[in-house]
Amino acid sequence: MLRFSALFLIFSALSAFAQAWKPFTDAERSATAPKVDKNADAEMMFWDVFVTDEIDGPERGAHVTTNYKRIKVYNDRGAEAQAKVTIPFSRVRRSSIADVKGRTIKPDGTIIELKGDQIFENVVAKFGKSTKVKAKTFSLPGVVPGAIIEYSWREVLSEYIPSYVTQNLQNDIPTWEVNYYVVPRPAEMLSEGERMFYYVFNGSSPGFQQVRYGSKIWNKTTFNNIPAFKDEPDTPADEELKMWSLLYYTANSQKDMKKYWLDLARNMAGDFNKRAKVSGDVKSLAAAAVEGAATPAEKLAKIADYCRTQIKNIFYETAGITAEDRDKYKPKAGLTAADTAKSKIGLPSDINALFAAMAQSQGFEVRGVQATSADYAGFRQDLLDPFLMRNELVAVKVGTEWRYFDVGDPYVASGMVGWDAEGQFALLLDTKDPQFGQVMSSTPEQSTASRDAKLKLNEDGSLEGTITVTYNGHGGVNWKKTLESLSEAKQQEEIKAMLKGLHGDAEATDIKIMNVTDPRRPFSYSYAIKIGAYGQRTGKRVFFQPGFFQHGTAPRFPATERNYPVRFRYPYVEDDTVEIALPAGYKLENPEAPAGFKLGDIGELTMDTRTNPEGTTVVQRRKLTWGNKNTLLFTKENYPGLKQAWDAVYRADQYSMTARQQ
Amino acid sequence: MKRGVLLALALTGAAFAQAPAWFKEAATATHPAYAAKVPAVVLLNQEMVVMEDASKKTHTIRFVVKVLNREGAREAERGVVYFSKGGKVRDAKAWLIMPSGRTKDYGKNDIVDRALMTGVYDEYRYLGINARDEADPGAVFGFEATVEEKTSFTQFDFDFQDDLPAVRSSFTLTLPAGWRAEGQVLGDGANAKEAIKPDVTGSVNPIYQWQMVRLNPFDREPDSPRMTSLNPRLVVNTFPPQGAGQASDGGESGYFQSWRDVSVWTSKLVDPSAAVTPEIEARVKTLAGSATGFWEKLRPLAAEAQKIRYISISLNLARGGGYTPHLAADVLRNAYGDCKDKANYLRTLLKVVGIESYLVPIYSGDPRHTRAEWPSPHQFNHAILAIKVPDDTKLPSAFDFPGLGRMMLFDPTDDVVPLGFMPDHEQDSNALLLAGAKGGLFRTPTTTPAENLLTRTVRLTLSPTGDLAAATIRDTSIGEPAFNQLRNEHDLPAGEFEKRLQRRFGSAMAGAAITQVDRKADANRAGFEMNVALKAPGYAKMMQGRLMMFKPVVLAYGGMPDVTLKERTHPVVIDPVAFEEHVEVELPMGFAVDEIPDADTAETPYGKYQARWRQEAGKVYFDRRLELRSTVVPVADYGRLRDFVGRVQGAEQTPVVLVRK
Repeated sequence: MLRFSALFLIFSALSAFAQAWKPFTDAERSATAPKVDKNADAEMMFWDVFVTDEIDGPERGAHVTTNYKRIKVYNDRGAEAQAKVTIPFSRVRRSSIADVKGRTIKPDGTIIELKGDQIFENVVAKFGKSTKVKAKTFSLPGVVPGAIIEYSWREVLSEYIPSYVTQNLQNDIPTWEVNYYVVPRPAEMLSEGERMFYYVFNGSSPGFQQVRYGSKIWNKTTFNNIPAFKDEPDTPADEELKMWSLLYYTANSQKDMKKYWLDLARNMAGDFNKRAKVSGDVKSLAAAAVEGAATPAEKLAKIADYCRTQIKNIFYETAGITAEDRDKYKPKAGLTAADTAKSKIGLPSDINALFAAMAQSQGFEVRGVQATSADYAGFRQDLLDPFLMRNELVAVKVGTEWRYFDVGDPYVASGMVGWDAEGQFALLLDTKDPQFGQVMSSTPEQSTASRDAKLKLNEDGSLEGTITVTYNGHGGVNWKKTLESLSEAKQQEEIKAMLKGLHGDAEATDIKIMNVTDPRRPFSYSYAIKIGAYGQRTGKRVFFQPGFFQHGTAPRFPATERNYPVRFRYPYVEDDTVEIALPAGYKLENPEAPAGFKLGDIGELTMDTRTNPEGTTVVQRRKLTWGNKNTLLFTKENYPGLKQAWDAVYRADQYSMTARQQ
Repeated sequence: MKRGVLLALALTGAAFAQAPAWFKEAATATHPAYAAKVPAVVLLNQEMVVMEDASKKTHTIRFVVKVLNREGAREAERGVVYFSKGGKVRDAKAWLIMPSGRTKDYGKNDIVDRALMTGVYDEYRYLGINARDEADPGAVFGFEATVEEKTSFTQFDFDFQDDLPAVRSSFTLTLPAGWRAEGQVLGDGANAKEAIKPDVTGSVNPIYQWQMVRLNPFDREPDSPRMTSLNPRLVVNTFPPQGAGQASDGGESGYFQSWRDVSVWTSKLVDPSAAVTPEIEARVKTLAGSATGFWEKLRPLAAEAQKIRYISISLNLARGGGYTPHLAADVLRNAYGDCKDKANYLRTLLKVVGIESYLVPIYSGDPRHTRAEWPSPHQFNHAILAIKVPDDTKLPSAFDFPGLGRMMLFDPTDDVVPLGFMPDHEQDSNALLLAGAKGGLFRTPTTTPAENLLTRTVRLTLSPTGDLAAATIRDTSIGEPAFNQLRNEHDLPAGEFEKRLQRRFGSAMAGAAITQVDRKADANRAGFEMNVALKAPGYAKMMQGRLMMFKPVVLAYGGMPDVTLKERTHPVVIDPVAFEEHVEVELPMGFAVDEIPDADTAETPYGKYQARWRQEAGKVYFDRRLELRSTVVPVADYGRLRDFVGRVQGAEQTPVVLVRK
């Protein structure tokens, strides 16, 4: 709780800081060329961010952020993109926007002020009586290429002091200078021993300097020449690429990093242990669940199965959950495994706690686990705070090894965790013996897509037959999560749409989709298809591609250059068997096919293409393995080699055979 | 019976008792069995309007929908659109009967009230209740709201359905004593074919009810006319008692019997915004002060209006604000405005140099939307400008307007389409020329395929190993294909087009690398040229070291109609366009042609096509020409269209086979 003393400052103190326009030079006004990126349509000349926490009443604090942006517009696109401004804010945290002002400085020096009646406040959405999402919107007047635009606003979060304050430092246009100012939170608003920390991701801060601005002394740090952030496919999480910062307060005084993390794991254990306490009911449930299991691994698999199939998971569609069940469910604090065992419904963390309790009741040593996520910023040893520990898992000792479980995700296969937890730093929570760990990674074989096609090539080049596809591991999880909340008709549409991408205009029929909401069985689908112009018919020959599953696909990496690293989410295998019967009276003309090749230590393409003794049927077995040793991240510098390897795979996949009329 | 069970029943009964009788009755309505993909069925879609006088109306909306599958849950939401100034939602309630039989009530705390914001500010708002998260298949959702509205409009329109099937859909209008109403159903789809007459009751205040039942679901299909022009749409005119002097006043007061009336009324709203101020005069002097000829004056002023940023700020909607442009002087100061602001700004600039022009409301995006048979300002969503031009003007957007002479349409909101041309989605459409009593409805001009031509000239050099040792591609375009290129120029940041082009070629050919790209528009921006040079390893496929197979078509033509559906229920809209391709392939040393495809020609009412391959002195040539005419292909002809498209696309995949000599 905040410790407020009798020091009660009136709310008007919050508006004591008024933003004045900074001077600009003639050179800035008349500049026509970008400074950071020659291709930029506009550049942010500076962005000043002022952050303070203030007292605005007894037991009430306010978090105040003032923003001031100045932007140089170089062309019409820049004017179009930058002149219209929307500042959203939410009433959920009693947020308000005040002191909005703006102006345009035209290249000839004319200044056009944004008038008050040009600033609109819209209720973008309102929920019930009081909750609103609002936005201040305005379009800066007279914006033309060469103009400088600037605007500022102040956001006040009343009656709420955020524990963590994140600040984006990289924009979608290049930025000359970001100035971050902060006044440390007053002592009255902090708990015993708490003090301010500031951490910069994907960049570095030169440190704070104290400056006077307005009536206050601020801690100021500056970042220069920040390029625009641009989206690219197959990258690590934005938080691993973009420059951003985290402001937080903690009582931690520990400088020994190892000791800090172990102390944290010790302190966090208590809550987990309370939730995962073994009760009589839990013990009985576990005993019934493991019936027939012979080995520890089998027992754990059965307990995990029980939790995934018998407990309705609020986040997923398993165990026959309905919207009405969700409507009735009211989460409460301090929920124990016994509560979840009784109600048979819970959040993923509740179900993990039940799993932990059931495993303990069977004599297993169990730990709660906090781990980082590959879908956010990864572990920073020197960020002495649990902010990045976004995955809650359970570790169970099997023999001498810790095995990690996440039964709160019903679709993750036994022996695996979600892709974003794999290989991540883990804290194994315990009051006596806390430990560091690394969550295990899966092998490519654990995420195998098995695809079988039995096809017939017709004389006119058309191809018809039936196909069965089964996804294990992460690929299956992806599909299940994509389809689980859809009706069967919509699931069919989704599969059809995907097949359209693969087979063009050919329409798939007799689509059967299996095990979408079944946590135990792999996701699978089958279909029949007739593709009109699969083979190319010439006068005497039909050319066709035995790589049916790669037909019509595009190279994986068409771009020649890259801004950011490439990341594959998980290792995988494609295991294809394609059987194609040739048209009657046709035989292969001098058949030959590539044999495949190694992709360094990271993977391998194997291809085995054979014909039956009569020469009337071709069978191709293709296996692509990728991500050995969990090699999934490739730097920008490694991109050309990566592209070359995948282009080679593409070309091998696209090879054609010739059937010639006898 | 146990006490707990009794209590439970009593509670259920109490909850259900709060739902009104009309909802309970509608919830039990039977409906036909639909295809599994149909997400929900509307059991009741009802709007009841009570008109107290010409300016005060109360709308009551009732809506009941049954969720049929998981996607149907999203239909368990309904709301009303209202104007924040001049409109008020008096009451909004909803109910959900869950499959278990439990009924949940929704009230004030569940209301979502949000801006329908497309621009900077908009007085259009939406107020509704959302029960999506609680709606399982089998659930029935009901909604009721009452909206009070003060507006000068006395016309109404009502959509009987969207894409869901509807069991019962009705519009009821209660008029002041002595008034009468006339309604008609518009729409080209199968559900709009049935003619309906209203039931008229009420002894003092006449009550009209139009009703449709058992409406089939609407399937969305690619390249079809829009749902709003296919589905049944009721439009209603109301008339005061004879002698009240309003119905035939030539549109002065907002009662419309003809398009001339609509022109008179709307012209009154728009004309004052075209006031010339000293600032406007000064701006014209800067832009065209020294110009003497007609076109010399017009061009810079049109370019100026086109450069004004598009920003929408809609105010005072209930009193015609949606039709009133901001003052041209304000647009000049702010350098932004919406479509009517931009058109009006240009009109005002032209006034200074003595060029006449008129605002033209039009429906952008669907040339079939605006129906001549219902004179009403409610049929438009966009504004462009008709400029009086010399009689000998022969540009594609020029036309003759009776009584006013030669005109030329120009859309200053379109960022790239230059003077003399129109974007394809505004061609061949009903539009209204606002010239007071001289104005009226007219059909916008259309273009021919030859006026929208993309010509591609390709030169390929193959190496003996099948690599594309050199390739040059030259695209020259006029009309819509050129405008598409200009839109890329306008919208994409520097360098982005090249990246996209690389991805496009890289996706078509593994390892393709662009070595050079040049692009340029011609002087009046009506034509565009792009030159690309590239290399691609392994372009041709080698077989047994003896045969080499390659496709002369490096890039497929992307302008064909979408015929991926096997069958359709709606027609296919084809825009006029032409495409020519000339490919010259230099064969590798030591190879000769083994197989080359035969020529192909096809001619249909909607297009024609010719393709020819030939060999000559170590080279292979491929030439094709495609022409698609502006047509709406009826469903009965879809199979023929599919065959036609299949032939064109098949030729792109047809290989030439070479053999080592």
